[in-house]
Amino acid sequence: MRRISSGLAVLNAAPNVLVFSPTPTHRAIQGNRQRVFDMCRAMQSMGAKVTLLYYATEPVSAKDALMMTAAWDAFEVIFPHTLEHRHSLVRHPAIDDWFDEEIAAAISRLVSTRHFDVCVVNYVWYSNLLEVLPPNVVRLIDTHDVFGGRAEKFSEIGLDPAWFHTSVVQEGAGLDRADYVLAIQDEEARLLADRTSAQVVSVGWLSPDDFLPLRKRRAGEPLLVGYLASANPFNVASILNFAAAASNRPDVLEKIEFRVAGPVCDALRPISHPFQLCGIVDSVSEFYRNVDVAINPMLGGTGLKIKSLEAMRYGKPLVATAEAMTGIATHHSGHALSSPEAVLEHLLELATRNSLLAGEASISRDVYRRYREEQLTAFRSLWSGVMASVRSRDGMTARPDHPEGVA
Amino acid sequence: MTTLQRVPEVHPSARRSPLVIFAPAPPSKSGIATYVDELMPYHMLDFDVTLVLADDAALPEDFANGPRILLASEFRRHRSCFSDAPKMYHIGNNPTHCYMLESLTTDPGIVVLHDFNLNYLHQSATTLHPESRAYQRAMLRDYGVFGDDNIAWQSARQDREIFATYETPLNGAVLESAVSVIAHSRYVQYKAAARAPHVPVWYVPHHLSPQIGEFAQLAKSTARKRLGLPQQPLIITVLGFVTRAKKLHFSLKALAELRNRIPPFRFVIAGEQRPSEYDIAPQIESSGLRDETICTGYLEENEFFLHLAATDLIVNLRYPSGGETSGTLMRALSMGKPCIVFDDGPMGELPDAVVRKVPWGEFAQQEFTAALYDLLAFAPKRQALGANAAAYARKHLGIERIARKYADIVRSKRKRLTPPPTTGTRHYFPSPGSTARRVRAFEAGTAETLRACPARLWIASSAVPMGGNGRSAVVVSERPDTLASLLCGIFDWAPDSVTAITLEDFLGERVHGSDGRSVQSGIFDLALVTLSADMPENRCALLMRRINAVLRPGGSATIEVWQKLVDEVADPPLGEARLPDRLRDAGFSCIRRSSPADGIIVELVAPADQGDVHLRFACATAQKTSEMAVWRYRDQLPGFPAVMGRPVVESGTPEGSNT
Repeated sequence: MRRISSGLAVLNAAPNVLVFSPTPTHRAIQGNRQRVFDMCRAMQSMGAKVTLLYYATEPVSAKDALMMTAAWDAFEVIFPHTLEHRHSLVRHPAIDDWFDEEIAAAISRLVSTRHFDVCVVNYVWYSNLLEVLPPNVVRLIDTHDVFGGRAEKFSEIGLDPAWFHTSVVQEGAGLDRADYVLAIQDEEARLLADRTSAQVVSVGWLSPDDFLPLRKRRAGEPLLVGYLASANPFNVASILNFAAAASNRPDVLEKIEFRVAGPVCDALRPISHPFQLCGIVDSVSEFYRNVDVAINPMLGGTGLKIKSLEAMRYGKPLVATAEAMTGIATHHSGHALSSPEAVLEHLLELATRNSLLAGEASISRDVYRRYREEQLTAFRSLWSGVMASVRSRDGMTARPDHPEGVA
Repeated sequence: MTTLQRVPEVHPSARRSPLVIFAPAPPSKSGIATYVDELMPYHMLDFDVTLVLADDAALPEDFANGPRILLASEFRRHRSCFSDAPKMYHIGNNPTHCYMLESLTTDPGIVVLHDFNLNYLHQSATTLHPESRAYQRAMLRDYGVFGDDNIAWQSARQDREIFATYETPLNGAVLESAVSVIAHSRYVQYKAAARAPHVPVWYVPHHLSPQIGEFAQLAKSTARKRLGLPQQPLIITVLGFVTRAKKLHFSLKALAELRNRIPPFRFVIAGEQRPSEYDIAPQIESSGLRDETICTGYLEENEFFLHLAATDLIVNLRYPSGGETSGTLMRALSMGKPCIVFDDGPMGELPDAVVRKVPWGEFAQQEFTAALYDLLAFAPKRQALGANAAAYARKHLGIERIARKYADIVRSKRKRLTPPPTTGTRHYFPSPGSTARRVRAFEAGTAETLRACPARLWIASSAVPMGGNGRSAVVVSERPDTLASLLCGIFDWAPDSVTAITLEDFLGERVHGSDGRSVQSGIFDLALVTLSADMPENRCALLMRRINAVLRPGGSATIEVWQKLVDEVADPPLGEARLPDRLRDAGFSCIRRSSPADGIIVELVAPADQGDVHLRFACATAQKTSEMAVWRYRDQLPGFPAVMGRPVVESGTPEGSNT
């Protein structure tokens, strides 16, 4: 048996991590679910034992609950006391207005029977739960997005701030409760670092690549172009804009068939558009398997553009605006287009020159690989720091840890 | 025990060896219950008998003189007390035998196969306990993907019994778990021996019922008087449950045709009718024989023999045959009654002088009508046939002789040549977190080993079960040693329990491990195989069949395939999309696909090189359910017939089935 003598010690000394999330990890049909899943899996891959504490704001099926039980070392559920939110301030909810005392009670019960080295809170408005933890627990907040000043940013482009928003000061107060703050991209990390005294680290998307082969096109077959997105206001505004532009280009529609999937389809149903609507698909990978090219004609928006990363994760050629690639390092001209019209032009070229697709797919794979390697490096560095904090708080000097893996 | 039997009493202090018999008993209406009850006094002379009944069976009235009785649940609780006792299972194709299916595998014994076809038995087991999925499991086990397809096909049809009951006997599990088998006909003996070649199959004819003693001497006129039947007309009788297979319409049509050529007659249908399954009334009506036909309904034992005594001719047709030997026919023979049967199945084995046999075929109706006329019109022919039947029964079917055969078989040393196939123990697949910690606890060279591994999605997605005591694995790959090393290190398989074989060797003429010894079939709990998806199709077919062959029933197969992202082969034979169906065709179920998104992030454990950037990996895990492995060629290859199960003759030659 090829096993080192310290093997069992490593198994037994795995750090215990409590992850609080208001979104389930299964099925990962939304970007935020995928983010929580990836962070949990990354910590597990570093040897941690992950307890997922799900605050049930979204319905889950029994099958999904079973999958979560199997995926994580422990799975706990808290049911909300109420889903009605307070709105304490004039213009914004205060940082703890969406916090439910049931969460604090559940955390108290949990920490009274189990030991945790690290706690990760998803979304800053649940940061109040960090106050309930014993002092030796290392605290992390995974922000997902910037919520301080979100309302102002939305109103600039004439949209209502859907979901949570607060003031910059309130957001800072929440972030200060943590030892580490995770931003989803560098730009947001810089912004958040100005608002909090906690250490801010940028860790983006960690999902493993799942590159799909190119679809075999028959002669004369139109180019199949796919767009899969949620119904957030920026996505809706962007696809409506793109639909208007495409409707005016019969030469494009002759050679290209557009397939739109995900909750964004609901926004397109009342209007006239040239797209085939697929609704919510059972399998994201099957959707991408059956298209030749993915697009992200995004204008504006906050956070990381998961749609762009997802398309590249499946190895599909991606045609996107520059704003759709915020936080993703790329020098490809097809990833820095300025308008929906430019996206259409690029697609037309791909439709007429089939040989370009293999090269574009290769670019997507390379961009994604580089991006992910950077994020894995950032995650390793973060984990190294977190483990150092754990050791210092426990007064442990020789706790087994392999921050760089076993390589 | 019947009151008429004269069996010597056994002294209470006599020490007899134990025998556990699983069988229905009276008051159950089953013919097998009567059969076992008639033999029981003789068994009790030879053995200390424990009779195991179904939990819901009605208990026999005569406890004092019968064997020790246990319900199935009681037997399970006390089975350790009977661990050394031989067991005997009387299996028939009806619901009263369902309770034996579980014990047959846990406590193997001698199987008395009253019906070769056990399809309805498994259907009944599913009806009684739907959660057991007994029928689906048996169909999958015996017929692999065809069984699965057949269930789907049956559920879409109204007339499913026509096919399902006779073409799929579903006796594989019963026969293969048996220590030995007893058949009542050569027909079943040969078929059972072919189905389970390692199991000795004995021929023991159906015995002559002891009850005939009372009725054999009964005058026909007395019997008719007691039954209220007319004295003068000829009586033609069909005995037993009214089913489609008994071809009653043959008799109705023939008698309608012969009505004016033969003496006056009555046609007696003496048995229980189940109109919901098969309704004979409309056919009686349309034949115009309503006034001549008498339907008795279910008969008690006494009435049954009275009808035998009262009749002039027994019609005992059966097609298709489920392999059963007709107890009714044996009783009719022993009472010297002339009988007409089809020359098919067990009944076709009887000498020509003993029964009148009608060949089954295109002209069966005409042949039957002619035979019926011959026997009804000429009394001496009937009498001669009846006399021959009685002489044959007395000479060959005496119950004491048969009971001695049973005793000899129980004591015989001739048991199966190989132990019954053991089903693999339960598989425990580690959670992703556990796998991550195990990978990290692996030795310092993990990264190097992982990098050298041609495929590692099976590790990342925890797609192999944990090892354990007595479990063995076969690893097939271009670099099997690397995979074997990871399998042992991460998933706790003992190194000496893992056989590593290169793909080339595994597909060679003879399969042998790295030590040069031949690899046995049916002994591994896990087959871990990694290969390129675009291997030639005939080699893929051979690979899937060999994977099936090396695994024990219930064993787990994990197959990881890769293909180039820009591939020359548009749709490789073992491509990702086809892999689950290929596994299903090869006799596997519980198929689970793994994706990179499901597992641990391997790069956090061992940073990857960039060598596989243009490859796509796919992995699937499945459990062996059937030994029936099929490969469906994508295109019919010109010049090659459909062949199943033949070894590859030469490289490039297709084999397997073209379905």
